[in-house]
Amino acid sequence: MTSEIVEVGKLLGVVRDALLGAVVVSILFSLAVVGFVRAGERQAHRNATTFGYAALSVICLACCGALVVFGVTLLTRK
Amino acid sequence: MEGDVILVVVIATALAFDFTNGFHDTANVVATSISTRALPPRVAVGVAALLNFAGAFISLKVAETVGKGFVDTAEVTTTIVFAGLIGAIAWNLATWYFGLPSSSSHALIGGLVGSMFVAQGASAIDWNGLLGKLIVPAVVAPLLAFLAAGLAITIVYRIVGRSRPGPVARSFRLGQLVSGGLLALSHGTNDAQKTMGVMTLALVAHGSLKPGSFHVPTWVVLSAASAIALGTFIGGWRIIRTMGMRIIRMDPAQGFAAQGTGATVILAASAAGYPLSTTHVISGGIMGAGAAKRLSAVRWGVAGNIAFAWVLTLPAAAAVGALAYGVSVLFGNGPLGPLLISISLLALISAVFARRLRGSRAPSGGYAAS
Repeated sequence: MTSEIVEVGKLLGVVRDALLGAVVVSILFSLAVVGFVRAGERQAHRNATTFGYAALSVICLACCGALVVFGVTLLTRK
Repeated sequence: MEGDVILVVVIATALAFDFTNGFHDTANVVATSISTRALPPRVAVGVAALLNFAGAFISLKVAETVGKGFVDTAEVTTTIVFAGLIGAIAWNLATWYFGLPSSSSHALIGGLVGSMFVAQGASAIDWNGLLGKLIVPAVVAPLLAFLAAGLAITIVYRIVGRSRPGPVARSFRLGQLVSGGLLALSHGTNDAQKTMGVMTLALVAHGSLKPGSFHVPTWVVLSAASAIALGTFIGGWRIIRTMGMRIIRMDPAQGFAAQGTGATVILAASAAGYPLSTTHVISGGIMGAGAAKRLSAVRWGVAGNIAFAWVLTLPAAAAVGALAYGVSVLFGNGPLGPLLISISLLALISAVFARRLRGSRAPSGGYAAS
């Protein structure tokens, strides 16, 4: 009865999408911040590690941006 | 002719509600950005207004749920819609007066259900729809935002914990430009649609639209988007204080987590067609981001007051909606009742605004200045 009134599957889908989105974006953005800060600290001696941190930052930021665009695009199709 | 006059009054009232919605909910969108100093207050509010406007055009699924998910569209009259809107506006203004971030969405649906109940009886209300599409998601959403924000901030602290705090805080302030923008966009997507749903319902009741096909006209989308954006731009500084400073004192990472998870929850719910309360979601997010760091960081007394306003919203707005309908029909079925109520409400609003705004000016510098 309750499951007929409350669309449990749909509601669980919202819970899943929201948790997944929050966790993935937090991980990506935090890694981007760490990469950015560490690359900034090593600016004086530019080497492969500095480049690695900068690359990590750029890639994670790009992924974050792509996820945001994907989410909004998905919404416009509904 | 009389029906046309009532329709004009209803549309004007719906847009007035949409304005109060933007005005009331500005805090949800910008409070965290302002309190962590990611953006100056005026810029935050201006950007939020623009993104609220844009968000209103993204989807119409929530409008459909509000328009036909809770009441029998065949039984709705323009006077019922009008009375429901009055219930919602009255509750929004009362909670604004006391600085409480309550839900405009639940006020709107509560008002509509109250006036419908008095006018057509219990059978005209879709109780299953009310429980399944409004009440259960209303309970789940803030808990979900609380959990998601708590999880997000735990992950953030774990990853950035060993980095220097200064550059990390600056980076998260920059991140808040995006998370705050996304939150404003999602707010426009979910909240402007509620007014669109009610305006479309009024057009169906008037006979301008067929009840079978729930089509939201373009002018309805455009006017609702403009009204919510204008309300957001003018802003409710009183609630910004409660949301931004009184629940917890946030650092930029917490602000980012609260805004990001708030936007994610609202966008996921909008895609499913649930008319969520953005207020509930962002409040849950702020509390989650605070509690994950330290349980005592959350001022639970303030949180309790907010929760009390949430519980009261549906019945209080329903009661005012029912009362407004009763008063309106005292003057017959013509436009006289709605016109008199609108004029009385306008006079009351002017008096309350004049009194309150004298003592509440927008902060001009950083948030700490207020």
